[in-house]
Amino acid sequence: MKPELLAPAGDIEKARFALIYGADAVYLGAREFSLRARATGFSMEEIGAITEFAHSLGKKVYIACNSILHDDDLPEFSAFLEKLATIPIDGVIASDPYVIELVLKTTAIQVHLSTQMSTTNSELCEFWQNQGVGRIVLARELGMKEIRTIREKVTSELEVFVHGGMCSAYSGRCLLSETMTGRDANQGDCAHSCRWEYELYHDGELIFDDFLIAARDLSSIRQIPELMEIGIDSLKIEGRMKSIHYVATITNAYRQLIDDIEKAVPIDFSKYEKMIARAENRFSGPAFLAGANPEIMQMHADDEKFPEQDFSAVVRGFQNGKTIVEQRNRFSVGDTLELFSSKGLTGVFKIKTITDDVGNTLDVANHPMQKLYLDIPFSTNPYDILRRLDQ
Amino acid sequence: MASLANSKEITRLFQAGADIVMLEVSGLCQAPLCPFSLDDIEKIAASTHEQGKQIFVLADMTVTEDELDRVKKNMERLLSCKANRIVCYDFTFAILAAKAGMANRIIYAPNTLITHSRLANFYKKTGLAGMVVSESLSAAEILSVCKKSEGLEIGAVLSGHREIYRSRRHHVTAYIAHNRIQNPTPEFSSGYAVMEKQRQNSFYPLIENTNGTVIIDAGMSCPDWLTPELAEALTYGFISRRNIELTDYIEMLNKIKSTVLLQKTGDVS
Repeated sequence: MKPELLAPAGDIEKARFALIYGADAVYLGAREFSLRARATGFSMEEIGAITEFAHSLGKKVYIACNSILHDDDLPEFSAFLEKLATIPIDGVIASDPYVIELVLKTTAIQVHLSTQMSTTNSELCEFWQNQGVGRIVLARELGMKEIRTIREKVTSELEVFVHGGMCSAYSGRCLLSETMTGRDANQGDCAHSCRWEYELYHDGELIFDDFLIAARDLSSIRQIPELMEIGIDSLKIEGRMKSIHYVATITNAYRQLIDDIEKAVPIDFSKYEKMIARAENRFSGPAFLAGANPEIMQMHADDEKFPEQDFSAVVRGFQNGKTIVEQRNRFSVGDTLELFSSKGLTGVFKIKTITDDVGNTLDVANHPMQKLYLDIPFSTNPYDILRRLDQ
Repeated sequence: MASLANSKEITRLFQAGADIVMLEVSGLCQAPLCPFSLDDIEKIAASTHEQGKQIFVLADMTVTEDELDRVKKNMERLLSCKANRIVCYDFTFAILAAKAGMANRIIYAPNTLITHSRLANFYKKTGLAGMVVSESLSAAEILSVCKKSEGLEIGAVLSGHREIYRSRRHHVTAYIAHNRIQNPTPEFSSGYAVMEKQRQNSFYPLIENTNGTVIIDAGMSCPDWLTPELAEALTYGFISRRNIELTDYIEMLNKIKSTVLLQKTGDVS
């Protein structure tokens, strides 16, 4: 069975990039009740627009409503759900049992149990399945053997995180951010306190200081064949706060890998790992999916990693023989850029001229979001990405 | 309600005014080596009941799939004991108790998840005895949950340690492995604490064992938010204990009791 590839969408542009670069579905948060208080969030109109766009491509949209509610939120949530139910979305990701019941009782929307519920065993899966939940997003702490056992016992759809930032603690149960900063992670305002440096003491004596409890990001290219063989229904990429370049690059790498496995093409994992490395700037690894090896799961103060890529611009169109681009990072005449599209890497070229939108010729493009015109010696399409090679 | 570290403390805690004692039991707790075994529970329950007091058992582990069969066996044994309530962090225990027709002995205490009053309806349907509200709720919110949760026992953590971080990861072990340090100790169970580098002198005890890593906030204070009205509305007030000396603990127990009682008679200066 070919699993769904599910990508994050922090805003409407990221959603479009995710879908164009190969996601079968995107998940996103509304402006209210999502677990990313600092992500822009979608208005109802935007949810409608992206749902229409996704459906036009035969793809799906899920709405994350996984913030933990308080009494004051309840009337507002009912009104929000009423509006949401008028849009033909494909699922709601929820963790609050009241939300789950309300969605199932008052709408025809499928409910996905959020990873915030830390569903770590088959008894929990069966319980939620019996409540009417259609899909269970498993806890990120499970090993491959455990996932396989759960799959054998449970008939509901199962979703597994395969890539992205990790909660170091069990999701939904962490009070570290709230304790350190007063920011409640369970209401979407995590300060990522687990990524700070801590000193460890024993009986008052300093033992060491390090990123003591910081998790490496998740990256599971080499585990995808087994997850597909087990029969996992959806493979999820984390990162609603990440850039369009990240979303496009990671989604595209997993898209190509899943398709290649499906076609029984001989797999060279390093090819996909190199693709992913273009967008990452933190150390990553397969975490619990490859067994609990503590050393490779954790960040350390002496770790260093820098992104290999330089996301330069996005293609917006074509006019008078020139490609219209939107600048994202500085580039200059003479730089070598590569063109990255939904089909993968499609060309390399040297920049000969840069022109702005009033016809001035520039040596350097150094204004973010500036509209510019480039001579690119092959065909381009909107949503293609330009990356600088020689830094 | 008070939690208990060893059997000698039972009498002292009851004398100090606890109505209920809570035991941590090996095989069902996040700490694998607890002071009490399943064999101990039945005996302690009998003697506790003779004194007209109650015994609760804390089953606070996170149940992963590879632990499930072992937990099912231990839970079966625990349910056959005479503990008045089983306080669980993971809803798996409630499911297992419900399958045995004994969900009414379960108090669900998932630290962060009970945040509003509508959840009472959901958990009442599952047959639970009660639930413990999230530690992030204000006194007004706790009172609201109490008032709207008829038929369900409601507890709140009043004081003592609170767990602020739980992971299946082994952080100290990871550091030791990364730095090639020779370490014969597989567990980091007592005397360890972490301090965030920018927050000098704020220490948080850390425990690491086979189940992973836990960090706790061991602050101990009399809750100034506990009004007589709220004390009346709550079924249980938890005064949890870890890394706290028994004498300090009893002092806190008495302080909370006397404060609430004095407020009730309007005799607070």
